Amino acid sequence: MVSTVVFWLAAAVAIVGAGGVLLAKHPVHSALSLVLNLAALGVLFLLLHAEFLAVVEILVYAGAVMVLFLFVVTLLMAGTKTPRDEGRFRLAYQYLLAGLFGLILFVLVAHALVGADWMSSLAATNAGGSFGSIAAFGTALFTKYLLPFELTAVVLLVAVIGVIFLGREHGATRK
Amino acid sequence: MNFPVINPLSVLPEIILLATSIVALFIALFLPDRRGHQLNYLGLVGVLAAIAVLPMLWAKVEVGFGGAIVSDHFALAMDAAILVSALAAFLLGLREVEPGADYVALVLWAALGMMVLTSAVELLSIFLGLEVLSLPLYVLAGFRRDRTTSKEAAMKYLLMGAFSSGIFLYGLAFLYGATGKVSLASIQAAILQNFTSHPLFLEIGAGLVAVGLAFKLALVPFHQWVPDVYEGSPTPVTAFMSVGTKAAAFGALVRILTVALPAGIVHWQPLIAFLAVLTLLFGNLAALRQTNMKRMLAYSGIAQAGYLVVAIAANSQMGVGAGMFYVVAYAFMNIGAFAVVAALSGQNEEGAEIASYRGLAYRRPWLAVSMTVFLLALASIPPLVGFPGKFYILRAAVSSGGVLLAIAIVVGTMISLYYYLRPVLLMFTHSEETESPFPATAHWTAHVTVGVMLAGTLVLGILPGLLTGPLQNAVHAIYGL
Repeated sequence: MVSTVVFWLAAAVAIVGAGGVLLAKHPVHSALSLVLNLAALGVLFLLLHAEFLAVVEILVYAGAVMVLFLFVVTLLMAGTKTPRDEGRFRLAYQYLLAGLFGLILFVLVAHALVGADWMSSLAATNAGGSFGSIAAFGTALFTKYLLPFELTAVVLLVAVIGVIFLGREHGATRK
Repeated sequence: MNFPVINPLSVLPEIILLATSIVALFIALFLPDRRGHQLNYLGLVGVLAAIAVLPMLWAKVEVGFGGAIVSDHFALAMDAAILVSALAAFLLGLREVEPGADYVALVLWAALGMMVLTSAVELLSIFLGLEVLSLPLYVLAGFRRDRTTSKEAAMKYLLMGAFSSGIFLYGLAFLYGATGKVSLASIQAAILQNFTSHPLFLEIGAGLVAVGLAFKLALVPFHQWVPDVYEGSPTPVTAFMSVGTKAAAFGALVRILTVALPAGIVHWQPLIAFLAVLTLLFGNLAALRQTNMKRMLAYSGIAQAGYLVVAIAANSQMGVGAGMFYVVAYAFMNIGAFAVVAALSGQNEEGAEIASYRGLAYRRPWLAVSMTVFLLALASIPPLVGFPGKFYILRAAVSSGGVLLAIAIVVGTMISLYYYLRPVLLMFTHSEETESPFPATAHWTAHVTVGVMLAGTLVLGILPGLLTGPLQNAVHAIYGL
């Protein structure tokens, strides 16, 4: 009952977010709409009891990947005004190409959905009750993938010290 | 829950470097800023301690973290070259970068990443090793923030590095997707038993992995970042990254290609050979036009990477052994050349132009003679270490039927004679100028570095057998003999 309501709400928000990505005039607004879309997808994953996927969707996509997007946007737009002021930021045949690719994607997805054998593929993907749960993930992290886990700690340490060095006022501390 | 056997011995040198870096960061909290450069000696001690444990570990192969990392002879031999280049970063760094705890820690971490890259046998750890290597180097390239060239170097390196990491990771994902395995040995097993989901995925994966590492090795056409980054970075950092990164990327490429993908040889060998020929020709031709010493050494470094890759393309035990010998040889000659550049240049790298080396032999005979030796070694003139190095690679290429590769090596070497000998000629030409563009004295550590590298270049040049014996074991480690 409740989950049905939540599903429809989250689905609507996801579609609004996706629309916002396409229609926003400013790249930063597009990026922020994508955050909305990803957050709604996270809720959908939660409804499917894929807790870990939900967390990753929010942390990695809405968090880290978005920061990367915004970094690239600010890097490319450094010194320019908003695209609308700049005038022609638009590519030639933009709508035509977007429509074409959209159509191709739609046909592919529709073909896959119509032709799918739902029951057998469900059985194939059912990898056991705890698969994808946070507990299973944690166990794998501390047993099978212990070395990558430790190395990630070093990566974070490097990032912290590197950022502190680059962000520090120089001249004040260095003579 | 099955906890893996960690076996600290398998990562002992890495642990020493990590511990040293953390001690350095803590000491820095209580040390006045003006004495921060003294931490460089701590870094030096850490690297020396890591070098000291290598012979201890040589006795036995250690497997750690449930098989994610091995400390075999191949890894230890590459570690030695990496640690020597880290040593140079500390010895040369005292004067130019005014290092503090951050410099010490970043160099140690980069060395740690390089060592992980050569010893990891599992895709995730290999990728993380690459990241631990790259991130500190981006910062180190921009360590002289008062210089625009240094900032430019850091920015270019960051952007190109981020792309190459992404490409590399995408390749690893394809390898995993094709076989469902992350450890190199089980990838090979899956391929041999035809457990791959699609052969095309495997080929795409291998290609992307090779391209990702080609960026780090500075192979043509993935070399565009190299001249600017090598020129803009502080000279000690350039010496460190030019050698350390190549050793690490060479190690990873050899491991991935010979341990995980020997079955795909028909696909990757032509690709690697093509890159090698392109690199040899372009690197040497582009070096001809350079007027700045660091830029010239950057292009020479590109060309030298070409020789290394020929050794991989030979795909034989002889080839891997020759490549490892060349990594060590390159460490001595190249760090030596950069050490002379560092010893000659002042705080702001005045005098890195080749023209300002005119008449150097009459003003600073020790440095001029050393530079001559290093340049002749790079040009592979006997009896210096570059000669046996290139000879072994040539032999490996010919014996595996790569005649075209051998011709490319010979042509490349002939071209390289011009740009290696031109500075030598200039140094021994009397100049009218009495005003030297160089500062009068160099830090004593720079002279120590030059001396050590000179000794290595001469001794291994005359007695290459000292190295080829142990390296034979290292080759066996790779091929599981």
